Amino acid sequence: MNAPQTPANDERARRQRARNWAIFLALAAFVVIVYIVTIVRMKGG
Amino acid sequence: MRGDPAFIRMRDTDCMTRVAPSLLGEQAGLSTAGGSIGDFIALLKPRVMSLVVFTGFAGLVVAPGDIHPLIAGVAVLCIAVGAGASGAINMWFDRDIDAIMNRTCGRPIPRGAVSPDAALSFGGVLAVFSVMLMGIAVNWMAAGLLAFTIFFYIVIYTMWLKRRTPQNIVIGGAAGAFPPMIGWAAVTGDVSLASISLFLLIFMWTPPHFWALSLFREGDYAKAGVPMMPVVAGQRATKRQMLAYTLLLAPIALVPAWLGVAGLIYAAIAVGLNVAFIGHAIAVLRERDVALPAHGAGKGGHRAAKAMFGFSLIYLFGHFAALVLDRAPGLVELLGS
Repeated sequence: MNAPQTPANDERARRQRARNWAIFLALAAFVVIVYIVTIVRMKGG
Repeated sequence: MRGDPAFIRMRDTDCMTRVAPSLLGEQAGLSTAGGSIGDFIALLKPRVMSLVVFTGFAGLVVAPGDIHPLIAGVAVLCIAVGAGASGAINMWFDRDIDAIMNRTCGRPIPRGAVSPDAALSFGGVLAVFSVMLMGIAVNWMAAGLLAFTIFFYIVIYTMWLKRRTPQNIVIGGAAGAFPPMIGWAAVTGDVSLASISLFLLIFMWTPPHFWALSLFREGDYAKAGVPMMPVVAGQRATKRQMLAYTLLLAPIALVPAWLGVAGLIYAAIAVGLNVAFIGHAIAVLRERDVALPAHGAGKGGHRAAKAMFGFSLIYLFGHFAALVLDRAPGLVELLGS
């Protein structure tokens, strides 16, 4: 059952999407940082 | 949310009397849309974070030793995220008094944009991530100091001292003073007399900085029942203590130069900034006390206190900028030639 399309629901969905993207980007950044740090430390940095 | 008529009323006037109770506190009538990205960024107190990041960066730059630029960047990121996490948890705990004070009632939780639980989870996750990443990527001494800073700000300052004693920001100021020590530890892996001197600079700066603010926000603090110095001891006693702290701060500000952490550029700038800061404190002391208006807003007057508060930010930024400048390659030689 989808919620009826109302301005409030649209806004809720838009903000939910924005938060999901932010969490995705933060986690991706974390993975990249850990990967690069590992490389740097393995080279003795 | 910022376009909401209720929010506009909230910002413009007294929070508790003008805003519908459903928009305040626990039963905030939370925005059904949930918080925006901007609301979650606001939970991190970005303006406070910027000063924390800068002082942490300065500690990292002046510390003896080498650090890979990427590891240094990660260290600064961890300091920033840890500070932001502390801010979010602080806003979760203080949501009741934030809703009362004009200065803070527009924050995401009292505004109803973010639920208290979401703010606490957000802050908690970021705190754990920042400390763990600092430990794994940089070193565990820096991570331990970061964890202690977050603990100190949340538990010692926010939960314990803030609502109990007028010495709240004197002791609690330590939380804001740790970042240069964390930056230093990121490079050296230890705590030294030199890094403690950077800690002391911020620690002694905090009382006059916050008391200047609390002089012209006295009504806000009184209304919320926060025992800031002007509320408890009165304006005159606060002004005397502000001058005492600025006088004690001046020699402490020169200790980094004496210990060899900084050179002549820093010493010269520090002398100038301290003379000016003491001048501001004297101007505040000479300024007439302002009676609290009946409605408790307390916004009138206090021109010297407002000027001192603004200058205090320049003061701290100036000292740490001077520390960094002193270490800029070739700058000392350039000035000496």
